This record gives sequence, structure tokens and C-alpha cells, in this order.
Amino acid sequence: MDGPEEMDWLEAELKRALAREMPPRDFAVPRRRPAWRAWAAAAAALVVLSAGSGIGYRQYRGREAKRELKLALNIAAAKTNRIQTQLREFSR
Amino acid sequence: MKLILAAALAGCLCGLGAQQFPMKIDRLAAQASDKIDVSLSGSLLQFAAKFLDDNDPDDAKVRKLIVGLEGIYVKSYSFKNANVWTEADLEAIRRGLRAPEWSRIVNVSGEDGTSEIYVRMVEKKPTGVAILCAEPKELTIVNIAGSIDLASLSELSGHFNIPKIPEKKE
Repeated sequence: MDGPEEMDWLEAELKRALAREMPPRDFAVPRRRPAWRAWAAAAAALVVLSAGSGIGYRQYRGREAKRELKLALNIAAAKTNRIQTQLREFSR
Repeated sequence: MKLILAAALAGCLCGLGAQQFPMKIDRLAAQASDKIDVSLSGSLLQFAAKFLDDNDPDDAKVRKLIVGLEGIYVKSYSFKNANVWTEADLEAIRRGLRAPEWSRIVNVSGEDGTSEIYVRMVEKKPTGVAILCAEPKELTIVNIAGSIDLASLSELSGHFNIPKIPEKKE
């Protein structure tokens, strides 16, 4: 079965498979897409980017406002507590 | 033209309605070593409230406390040396609290300085609180616009890093 005939057949198959083929005629010609597609893609990317940065900025401002709120209440509570303590001491 | 004037007037009224008395301590701001200046109008309070986490017990307390508030304004200045502020500075602040709707409910003076609490009443309803604390090396003014429970506010002491001031033992 592994005789010279079989080898010839295999060689022929390999040659055929690896044979150089000419590329199609339009292979090197760049395929041009319509200009509106490029603009639409750019616009979509811009919308996504600005929406993303807008959400990010909103999150930042929110966290900052929360931090300021806690700081303000922190100070107000500490001062109220201090005054209460002073009053208690005076009433003794 | 009338529309523009009306809009400008509304803007001025809104501005007045936010902070309830002028906090004129610019002279001291220049001499402070540490300055805290927080100005949260009603809309900013609402915005901040959206970022409070109800699963966090401290945040839940804050949310409960700020219901009905229209603004929180704090100026707190620390000084390296004592006696930077003068009685004239305190008088300038008090002048803004002499309006008929303001009443001083607490006035404690001692070696540690002066502490005063004012309540703003409109039609027999509390609409604001002012706290003036003048310590030797610190001056703090707080204006909370709206209705707030001072006892609940005081209870925040000991929470979110607020040091609870211990009572002095005799």
C-alpha cells in the first residue's frame, strides 16, 4: 500500500495544494466604503465618549457633594455636642 | 425688559433665600492656617443625597437628618496663635443675626471662648439654625437653613469620625 504509486499521488496532491495562485484582479485595489459610514462611526464614538465622561463627572461631583455634606454635618454636630457639654457643666 | 428684571429679581431672592445671614469674616480668612468653607444649597443637598448609601448606617442617619433642609453653610477657621479673632469680629457676625426672626437660645462664655446658638422662626416654625463657636484658636460659623433637630444632629457625634467630646470629670 505504501508503494511508489501511493507516494506519487501524495506528492501530486501536495503540489496542487501548495501551488502558487495569482491573486484576483481587485486584490490590491482598496475597497472604498461610503464616506457617511465613517462619519457615522466617528459621531457614534463621540456620543459614547461624551456620555461616558459626563456620567463620570456626575459621579465625581456627587461623591464630592456627599463628602462636603458629611464634613458640614460633622462640624455642626461636633460644635452642638461641645455646647451641650458646656451647658451640662454649667448646670452642675 | 420686564421679563429680564423679573428674572434678575428672582435670582437675587433665591440668593438671599439660600444662606440666611452674611458670614463676614474675610479678615480672619486671610490669617487662618486651616480653612473649611462648605456651601451646600438645596439642590446640591438633594444631589448629594442621591449618593448616600442606605445600607450604610451613617449614610442612613444623614439622609434622615437632611430631610427638609434647604442648605448647609459652614465656615471654620483654625489659627496657629490664640486670640486672632476679636470681639469686633464676633459682633460683625452677630449683627447679621439681629433680624427679628432670629433668637439666641444658647450663649455660653468661658475661658474656652464663646458659643452661641440662634434659631430662626418664621410664623412660629423653625426655619433655620445658626451656630457661632469662637474658641481660642478656632472660629466656626454654621448656618443650617430649614428645619433640623439639634438633638439628632448632636447624636451624630461619635459617628463618621466625629470625636465625641468627653464630659469633664470633677
